[in-house]
Amino acid sequence: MLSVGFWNAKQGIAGYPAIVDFARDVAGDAGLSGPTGETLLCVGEPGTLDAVGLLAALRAADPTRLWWTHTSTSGRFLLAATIDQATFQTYPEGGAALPCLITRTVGGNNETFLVWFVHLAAAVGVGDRNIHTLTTGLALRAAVEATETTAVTGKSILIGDFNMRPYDAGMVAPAALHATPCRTAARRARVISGIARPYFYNPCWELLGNWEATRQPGTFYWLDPTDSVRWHLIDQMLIRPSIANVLRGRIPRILTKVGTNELVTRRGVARRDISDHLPIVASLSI
Amino acid sequence: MENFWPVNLLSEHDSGDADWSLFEAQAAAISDATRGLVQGELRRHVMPIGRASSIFIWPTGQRVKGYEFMAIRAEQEGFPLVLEVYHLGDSHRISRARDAAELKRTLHKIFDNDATRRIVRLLANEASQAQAVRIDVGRAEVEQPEAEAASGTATTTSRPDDSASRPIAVGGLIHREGESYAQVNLLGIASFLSEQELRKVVVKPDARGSAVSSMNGRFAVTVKFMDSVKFTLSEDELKILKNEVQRVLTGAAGH
Repeated sequence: MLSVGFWNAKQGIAGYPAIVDFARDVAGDAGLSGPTGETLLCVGEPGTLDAVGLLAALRAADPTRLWWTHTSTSGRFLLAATIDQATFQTYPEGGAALPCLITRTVGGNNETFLVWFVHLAAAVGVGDRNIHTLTTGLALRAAVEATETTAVTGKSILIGDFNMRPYDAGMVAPAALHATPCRTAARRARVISGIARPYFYNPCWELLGNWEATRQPGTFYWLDPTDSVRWHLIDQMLIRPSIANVLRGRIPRILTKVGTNELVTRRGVARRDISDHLPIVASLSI
Repeated sequence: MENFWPVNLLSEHDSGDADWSLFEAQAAAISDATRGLVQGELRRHVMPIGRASSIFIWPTGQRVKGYEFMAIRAEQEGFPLVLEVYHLGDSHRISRARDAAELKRTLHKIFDNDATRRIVRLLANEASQAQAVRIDVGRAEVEQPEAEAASGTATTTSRPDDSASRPIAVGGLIHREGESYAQVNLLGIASFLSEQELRKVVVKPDARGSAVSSMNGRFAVTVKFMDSVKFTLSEDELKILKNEVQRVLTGAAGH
């Protein structure tokens, strides 16, 4: 069992302790990471936080686990993991995402998966929102397809800050990410004007709906005068339909607490002194 | 500190953004600016609406390691353009250029940035370490097989065409159930190699116990994979493969 997770840390404003709490909570949750606490986590917008500092903080706070850390070439993705580092390789960043090739033993066989940590640009100050999400979604899809070909594995799992909701143009358009909420529909590529358009499966649709103290329908709180939504589900997970069955518990989990810190106030607003995003985590049976 | 980018292009180039040739020129010129250690190109995305391209840069000879340096987006022909430079940190990552003058100022800032230099140096070092590039005075060349070099059939320029570069990647040594092995991607063939087989690869070519033997100016590598292997094919290649297999299975082979 393996957990994968992403947290946009808002320039790392809460420092290492918040990230350490996040990592320790996830690794220590046997329902997410299994009895041995295997996890692969990513911090987006790490700001001044770096791999050396995070590793020292993790080792000090959680000395029983063999944590290791890694910063991507661009510096945009800071990873913390407990999986055997020898089973991990990065491929070049593309489409505003970091592809990580991991080897897992499934049914006694070695299998490779691509875990993508994603951080697309927000549609702020860039003109038309739809065109922006289409262009960023299309570039990400192109990067995924190119790397899958190079790495010779079609088993991609994308997790991160897409800066799009599940229903935004770049997420659903066939030319872009073409992510559907239906696992059944996702099974077979759709042919549009003679071109096969494979789907991604987006399990995050099932998170949408009512906010309640025990139910979190989004990861980013923003009151937009042109939009009815308050909690925006922009941190998501997409998975290739052929491996949708490895997602345990049907849907990813949005965390509203790390360590002893609540990330959402009683009124249901993000604690921006820690981050304006909530972490998203998924448990995989690989 | 060195400037890896040809600033003169920014002042001399007059085509504005009409065909985004300024970006093409900047990307292509990275080779000369790095003595051939780093290559770059503009890759265009086919868009139903809007326009999008990215500048990729990579260590010479390792095109598959192309790093997406900058994305360029526009809602339509002409300005404004949005530039996203991934390594510049979240506060400076995205710039908007409303006209050619603003674009040139923005590019100056991007290229004259320590984070940009760090990325380019990183890739240049990778090219040097791989020793696939021979540094001469003022320029670098991709190593050519001796036979090709002797025949003069291959061109060696400061901007080598390494479009044929194929993936070569070896993961870490995994220890599991008494075995030691690594995930490998050899020229697009992905599988696992035991530590024993990996050790044979680094033995001097043609020496006893080496997996590598010299052959016509190139090298033949003989390794035994631990497991099934994976590779990708185009639709046409799959047709050829199926045809060959069917020919064999129907007994037509050799007749």
